[in-house]
Amino acid sequence: MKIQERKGYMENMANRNDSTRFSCGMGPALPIGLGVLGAFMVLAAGSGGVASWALACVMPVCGAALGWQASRLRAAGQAAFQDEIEAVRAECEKQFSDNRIADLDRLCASVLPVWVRQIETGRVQTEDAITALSARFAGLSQKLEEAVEVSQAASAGMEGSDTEGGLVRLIESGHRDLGSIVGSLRSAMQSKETLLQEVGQLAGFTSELKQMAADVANIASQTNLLALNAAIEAARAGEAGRGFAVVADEVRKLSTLSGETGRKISERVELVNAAIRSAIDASEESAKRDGESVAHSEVVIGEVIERFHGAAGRLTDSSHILQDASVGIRDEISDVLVSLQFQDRVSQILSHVRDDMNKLEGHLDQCLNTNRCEPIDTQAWLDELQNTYTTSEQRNLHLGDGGQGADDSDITFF
Amino acid sequence: MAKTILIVDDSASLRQVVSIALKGAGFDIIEACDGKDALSKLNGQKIHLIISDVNMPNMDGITFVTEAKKLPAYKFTPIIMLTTESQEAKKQAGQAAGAKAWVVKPFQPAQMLGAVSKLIMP
Repeated sequence: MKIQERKGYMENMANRNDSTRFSCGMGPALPIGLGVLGAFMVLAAGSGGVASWALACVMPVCGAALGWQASRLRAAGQAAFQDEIEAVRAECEKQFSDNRIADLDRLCASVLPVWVRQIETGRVQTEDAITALSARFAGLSQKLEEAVEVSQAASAGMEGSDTEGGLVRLIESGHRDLGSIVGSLRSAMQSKETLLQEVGQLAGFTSELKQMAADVANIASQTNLLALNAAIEAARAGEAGRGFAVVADEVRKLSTLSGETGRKISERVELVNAAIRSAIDASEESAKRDGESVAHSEVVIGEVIERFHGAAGRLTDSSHILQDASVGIRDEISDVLVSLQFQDRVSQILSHVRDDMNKLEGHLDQCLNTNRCEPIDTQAWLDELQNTYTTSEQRNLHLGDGGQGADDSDITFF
Repeated sequence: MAKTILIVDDSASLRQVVSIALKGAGFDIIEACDGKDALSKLNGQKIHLIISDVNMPNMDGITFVTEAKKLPAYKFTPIIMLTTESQEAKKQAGQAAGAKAWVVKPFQPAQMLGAVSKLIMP
């Protein structure tokens, strides 16, 4: 009988019960009333004899007895009918419960595999995604590690380590080398100045030479005069002085030549002196320009070295900032990777739920296929499920204490 | 020469996390996805330390440690169990199998490095 039919039947029976209860309520009054009415009719129709009075008395009593008997019979019938209703109701409820359980079994048998597939898909997709994320973060971490190493090497190269010269040391070395070149130029200028001083001293010698030439010319003039007086005295001596006159004439010629030589020496000395002065002037002008050039070079070299220092400093600072940022990001990624460990716990929790649903599905399949259902020991089932747990949060959740999240990391050495 | 560590875990992401933490400290890493896979990699090559999960398919960590300790080349290789298990009974099972340390996930890389350094020098 279908559930709806059973329910309809129950309702009809209940209605019948109500109507019967109503008729039973009127049952005892009707026979007594009829007996009393019959007694009045007997007395009215009779002659008032003993027989009439006896009949009149018996009739209500019989009515009452008949009513009592009818009432008893009806009460017994009602009780039996009530029992029948209760039996039908119980059977109906049992059937209803059985049908409901059977429906629930079929629903669970159908829906459990779906839930299992959904959970497993979610678990696998999460695992795949987290694994891919971990791989990408691991790659980023590795690249950052390499970048930090390169940056540190570059920074050490710029700042200079104990074993190798850095950019700053290179600049300082260049500064020293350029400084030594400037020093060499200054030294050359110093030598040139010394040379000029010596040349200037030569100019002093030329004055002496010029004076010596004038002295020679003067001596020649006096010698000439002396030769002239000797020639006069030779002429006065006559024939005896003729030879002396020749000598005096030769001496006069020599003094003339000496005077010309002295004058030529003086001219040459003047020329040499002019040349020396010109050379000194030119050298002084050149030395002045050289000095200005060296001074300018020093200023330029200083500025260039300063710019190099500034650039190297900025590069070093930039390198340090990059290094700090890279180290910070690497640490962040490391923390992210640690956080991604939740996937392992989630995967285990979902696996345990999936396995238990599979187990329930197997049980239901066996019930539905064999029409024989072994009773389930709920506590044993729960205990078995609890034994599969690996984390304390699962155990807490099982006991209804709420998940406490991941346990704090704990290390035990044996 | 860098020392070699074998990491055994069915979670690829966990293997990567451990691998990153240890590679950064200068170790060489070999990975295995379960106990059976790990045993196949214990082929005589020098392994200085093993880090193994407990709950894995095909062969669980306790069984793997027990089997690894039977191999003469790895009898004295220190083993760290890395697991979500925190029950004392499980720890005792790990100790009985021959593990030297028990680390509960999730772990901090510094803690793992500390445990590794305590058992072998980098």
